[in-house]
Amino acid sequence: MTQRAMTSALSLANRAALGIFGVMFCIYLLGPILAFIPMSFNDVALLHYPIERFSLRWYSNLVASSEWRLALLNSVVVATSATVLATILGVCAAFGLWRGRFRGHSIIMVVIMTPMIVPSVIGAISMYFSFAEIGMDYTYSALILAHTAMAAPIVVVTVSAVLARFDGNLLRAAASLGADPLLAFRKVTLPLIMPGVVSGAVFAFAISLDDVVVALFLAGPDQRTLPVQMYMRSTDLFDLATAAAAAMMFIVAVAMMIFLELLRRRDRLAPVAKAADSRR
Amino acid sequence: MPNIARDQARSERAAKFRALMLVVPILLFLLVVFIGPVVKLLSRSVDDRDVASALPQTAQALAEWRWGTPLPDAAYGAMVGDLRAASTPANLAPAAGRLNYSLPGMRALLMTTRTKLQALDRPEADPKSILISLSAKWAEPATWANIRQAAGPITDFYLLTAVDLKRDFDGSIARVPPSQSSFLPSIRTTFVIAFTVTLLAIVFGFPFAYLMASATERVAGIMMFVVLLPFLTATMVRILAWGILLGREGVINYGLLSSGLVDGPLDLLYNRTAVNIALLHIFVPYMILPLYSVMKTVPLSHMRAAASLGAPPFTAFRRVYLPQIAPGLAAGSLLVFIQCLGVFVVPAILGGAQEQGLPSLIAHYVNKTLNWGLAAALSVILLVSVYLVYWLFVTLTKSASLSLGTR
Repeated sequence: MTQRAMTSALSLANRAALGIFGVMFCIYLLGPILAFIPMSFNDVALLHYPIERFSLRWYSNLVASSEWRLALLNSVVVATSATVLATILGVCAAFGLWRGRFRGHSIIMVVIMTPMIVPSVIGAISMYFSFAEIGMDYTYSALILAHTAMAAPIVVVTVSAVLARFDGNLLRAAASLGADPLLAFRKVTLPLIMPGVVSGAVFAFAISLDDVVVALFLAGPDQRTLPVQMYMRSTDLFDLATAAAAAMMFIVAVAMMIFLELLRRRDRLAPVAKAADSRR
Repeated sequence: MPNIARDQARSERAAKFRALMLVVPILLFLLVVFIGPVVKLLSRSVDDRDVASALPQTAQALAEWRWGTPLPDAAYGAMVGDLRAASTPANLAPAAGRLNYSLPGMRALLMTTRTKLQALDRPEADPKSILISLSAKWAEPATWANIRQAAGPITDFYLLTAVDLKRDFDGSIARVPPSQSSFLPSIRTTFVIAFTVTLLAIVFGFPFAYLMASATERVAGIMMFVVLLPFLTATMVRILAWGILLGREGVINYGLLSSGLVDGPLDLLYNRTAVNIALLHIFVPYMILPLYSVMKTVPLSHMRAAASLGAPPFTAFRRVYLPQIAPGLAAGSLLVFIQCLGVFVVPAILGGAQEQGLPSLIAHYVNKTLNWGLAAALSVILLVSVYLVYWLFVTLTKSASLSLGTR
């Protein structure tokens, strides 16, 4: 065998090994979730396959249980409110930072990013302590405000990424045609950065929906969100109502995923994942 | 003419001011809801005012006293006065709790002495012998030294305790005997887990990102989907999925048992491996995404050029490829490491006692013992670690892409 042939055989073997690794790692990433979700359709509380009888009884248990129903409702209410607030705050801030080009820009960014860097346990007990002092612990408002603080930074980052590619001359053109800044923002900027705003909102929603730690401290029995309820029930792995709740959260994740992908396709500026973008 | 220039400058200032007004709301909001409360919590790690406010006369009487010198007689009278001034036990509770942290038994001593004093007629007459007759502990200098050290207004007691140190009564700092030390092992656990998971994320995330970057568009799209779907799925769902896979009656054990590979179920849960596997699963996208985005920008022709110039594959990799993707590697490692330092739910559900790190300890001191001072001190250590790592990475790489939010 010539040396060249040997090298290419070696590289073929390498590539095959790398390919096998890739497939295995994909199984590791998706497998646990895909193995877990179908169990919620099992008629009996058994954690193995094959599923003997297909049934929706865990879902009807879930809907019938006032505890789970409340948790589901709480999650929807809290995540939606926090997303709206975080998106408003985040879009304003990103636009202001882009317009202003302030001298202290990086310091302002460090301040805005604080909730993403501070470990959630510290954020959780700090906010619990401060809200408790003014008698606001165990209230919806406290939980919504806390989630807003945690979700706002990602909106600033996402919207800033689109604005970086937004042509400022368009605003000058709008002004020369007589549009005041608010009208120019509404009619020119907002439509163009919309995909970034929406994906920022989706990420904000995902952060609120994902949170266990902050809700664990700030929520009383009446404000328990879905992840907190799952955490509380996690000692009993055989209560497949938990699996049914997980399946519902998984469907939300799939929906968010599809939504983000559609946004990315619609507008090449969308920073859904910078990585996904640069693939083109 | 100058009017135009002045008008322009004025309108620019106005525009800048308007822009600033858009940033102010989020800054105020975060300051009030998040940053303020965090600073307030951290300040509790040095706050030590409970004892001086509950026992003001005693704190004053002991102010000049030094360990090794005779106790001023005024201290006994002051203590009797303070204890009799506390009309309910609740008035004394915070101070008694604080003194009990640094010297076990102090809570009971204060409370029973207070109750007994209330029953006496005129204890002010000879406070020293009365106190000592109520409890021999009042004759021990350690009791008084403990009160003196806790007289505030600030203290290093909690911060020292959090790193297994203590201040002896003569003021020198000493190491807590290993048998009693409880915090350093937890701090070590936190860092060991963060290191392990970051390393695993590099070992597995690097080839995966490389595969993605060199795959066809279609395959890369599928791989991206596989990375992003778990990433967007709630963490709680993923943790429970691992619990169900690895449990004694879980999927893996069922498979192993029914195939006859093992005789009894394996204990796959509540250990370090389970925690590492689940943490890698949760955080590896933070490694893959930034790595992939830099790898996409490095043309493969660079490696071929290095090879054609005679570089062996490893040298070409080390000298040509690695420096170009270093920012992505650094950003990924930073994101994984920092987040691992703060994890709380994964060890709580999938780990055993050995896996409970700093965040679990912090939650424990808030939930179970209400020792806010110690929880705050442990938070200081955790937060300083996080920012130190953050600062270290930013300094080492000096890369703008790294500094903020490659989430």
